[in-house]
Amino acid sequence: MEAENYLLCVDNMKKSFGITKALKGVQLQLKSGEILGLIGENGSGKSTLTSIIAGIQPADSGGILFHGEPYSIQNSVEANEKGICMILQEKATFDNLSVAHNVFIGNEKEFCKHGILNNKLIFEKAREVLKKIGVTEIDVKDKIKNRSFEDGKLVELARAANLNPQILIVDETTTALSQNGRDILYTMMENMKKEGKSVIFISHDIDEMMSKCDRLSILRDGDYIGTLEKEEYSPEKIKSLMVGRTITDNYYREDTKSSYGDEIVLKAENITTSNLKDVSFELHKGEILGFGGLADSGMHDIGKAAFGAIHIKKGKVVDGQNEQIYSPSVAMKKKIAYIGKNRDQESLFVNSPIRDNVALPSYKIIAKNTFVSPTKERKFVEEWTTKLDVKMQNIDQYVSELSGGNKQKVAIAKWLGFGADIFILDCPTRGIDIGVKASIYKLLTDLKNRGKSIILISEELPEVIGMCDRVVVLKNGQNSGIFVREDDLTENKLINYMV
Amino acid sequence: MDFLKKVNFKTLFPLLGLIGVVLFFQIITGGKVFQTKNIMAVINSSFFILIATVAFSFIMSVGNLDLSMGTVMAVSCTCAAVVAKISPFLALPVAILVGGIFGAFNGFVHADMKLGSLIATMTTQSIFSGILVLILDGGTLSAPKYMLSWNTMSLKITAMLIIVLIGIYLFNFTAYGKQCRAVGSCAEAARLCGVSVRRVKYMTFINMGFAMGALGFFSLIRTGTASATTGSDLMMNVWCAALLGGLPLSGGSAAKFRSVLIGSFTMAFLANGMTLMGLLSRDKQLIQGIVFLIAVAISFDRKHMVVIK
Repeated sequence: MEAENYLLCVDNMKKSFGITKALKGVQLQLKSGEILGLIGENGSGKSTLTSIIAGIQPADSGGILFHGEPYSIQNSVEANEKGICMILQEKATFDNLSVAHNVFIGNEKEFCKHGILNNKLIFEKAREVLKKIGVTEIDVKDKIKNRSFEDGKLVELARAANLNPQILIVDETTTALSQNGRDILYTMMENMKKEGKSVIFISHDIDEMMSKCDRLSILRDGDYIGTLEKEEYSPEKIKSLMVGRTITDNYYREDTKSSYGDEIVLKAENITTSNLKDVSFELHKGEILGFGGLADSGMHDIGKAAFGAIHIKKGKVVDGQNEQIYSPSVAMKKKIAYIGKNRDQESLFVNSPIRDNVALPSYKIIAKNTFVSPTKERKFVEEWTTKLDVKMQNIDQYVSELSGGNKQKVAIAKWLGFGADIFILDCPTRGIDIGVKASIYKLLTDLKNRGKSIILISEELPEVIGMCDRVVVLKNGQNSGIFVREDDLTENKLINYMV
Repeated sequence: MDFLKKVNFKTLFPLLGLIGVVLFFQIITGGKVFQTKNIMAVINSSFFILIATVAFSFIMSVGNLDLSMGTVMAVSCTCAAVVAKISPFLALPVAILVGGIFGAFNGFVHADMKLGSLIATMTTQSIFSGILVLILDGGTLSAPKYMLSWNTMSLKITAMLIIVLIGIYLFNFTAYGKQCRAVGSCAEAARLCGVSVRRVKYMTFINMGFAMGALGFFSLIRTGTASATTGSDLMMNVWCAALLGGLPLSGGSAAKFRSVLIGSFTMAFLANGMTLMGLLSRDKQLIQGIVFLIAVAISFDRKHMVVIK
């Protein structure tokens, strides 16, 4: 079929965030009257691609044909006008407005006369729209903040339905919906299909994708892998296309057996946070303990909780002496270090010199009777940045000028200089090039061999499998399986426990 | 010319401003600025601004502001006047203590009640003036006459030197000063580096209070009285000095201590120059307002903002 026969055609689309290449020349074809599934691992580029189509962000390069004609838009309002609507993974409703006003947000003009909004009419129409998609139990006068997250998503569906789009993009919405809510969404998708309109559907649930989608396009690490027709579907095939990257050179740990000391250095006892439910684990001396799961599995809370950086509702985190860790400064007294997932917001001061970044946790070591000698500080910082081979002009260079990999090296140098015994690393290789990645893996192995303990939280399964002695898989905030390092531990095995 | 490449014009701007102000008045007044008598007058008028700006620079490096400083100074001054009746030697320690307590209250409202520093100090400013009016009971309080003889140039220069040196030490050579800037750069990252953000915030406000207490005492020995208008023009001058000197409103590691000195002396020369030109105080108000606008316009970082709130 030629390009003009498709309703929407994406060609060679590229998008980078800093040095992270989210899309490396992706293509996508959408027919009229079909439900196209878009599937791939975390960070494969699904959301980036669809949000570009929906006008939420611009692409760096690449073209889109819509109805066979070039399609260029500045923002999501224009996309809506052209007939493309997107239901986001995140919340997109306004808390302090009523359900009805949320349904018609941006379209209030239809209900205005001489600049005065006819609220009665808006409530009436909202009831109609909601009823049309099969929602009857939501009071349209209720404020969104008094409704559940699911109701919010249904309101977003109603908003989209009211716009009557040619293309509806549904990004990872079903996990937030109950069976009833899902049925409403499925019915809406089927109806659109019958009317000759199209849906792009994103979900991690492979069974759901296979039963609802007419075709499945697969993305992996920002690359377009291929599209399967319905008769080609099989879970094994989809999974292998999703994760089946070929590791060209093995830069992970070489041994394939789990090994660690008997001494427990950190223990979480039934911790519950806003994203975790009743999770327990033990970290041993010389162990690399991995945490894997989907982005919303709560795994990022593990690191923060173990470092005392978030409120723990129930349960506690204790060190080897059974003393509780309830704040970052207590954690640091126990020689625990934490590097967060959001490097530029959590682990670094990007608008400060490297010197300040590396020395900050260690002033107690550097200072003599409160006096921080600039010479001693410089030597300290130079020592550790040299050990980690940070590529920089000098230590007074601003961190914002460094590449992602070197930024991460600065963050690690800071904690090595501090002399930490336990390292909690949340996505330490996120957006980092292969070379630095390899050196970080080597460093982790060295640390392990020197008897340091490491918690490695990662959205990348190969990394967790390649580095860890034990892997805890989280799903919906709960521990869904623990795996010990062995030869035949594969991604497919873990994925079954993730989704 | 590597040196020139390295120099960022924006960081040089405050110093050029100071030189510009001095030269302008030097020319327009026919060389009166650099007469010994006048230099003494400049030091005299920079005294209050400089000491307050030293303490304020820590609050600004955290990224905070203080609207209550003048009132804290007035309350300290009043308390000093009250205890001076018992023993004049109690005046200074009591003034500093009172300032510290009021500063700690600012810290409490900001760090524990979790209100933004602007709103926090706006409310405390109002509370403090209320307390001030209660103590003064509508009138003024006088210090014993002979305390006025303490107000000597040598005492003032000594006090200035000591406080500036303490400021430089704390700002550049202690963990505290560096932690202030770390909190200003990114509070979350500082917290995850073991910095007690709450403690740092408290410390900055308490130190501000101490400085205000000391200034309350100096105000008492200078004028001999404590009244509701004591310190009322201080805040504007200090904010102006801080911004003209180049302290960033957003805080963080762009804050440099030299800004305190440059800004304070710019303000002192400006006020002095206007006096030399024979301007009346009502004209000064107008000019000062314009200077403040220019200072904010120069220093406010709008590059990273989409919408001005």
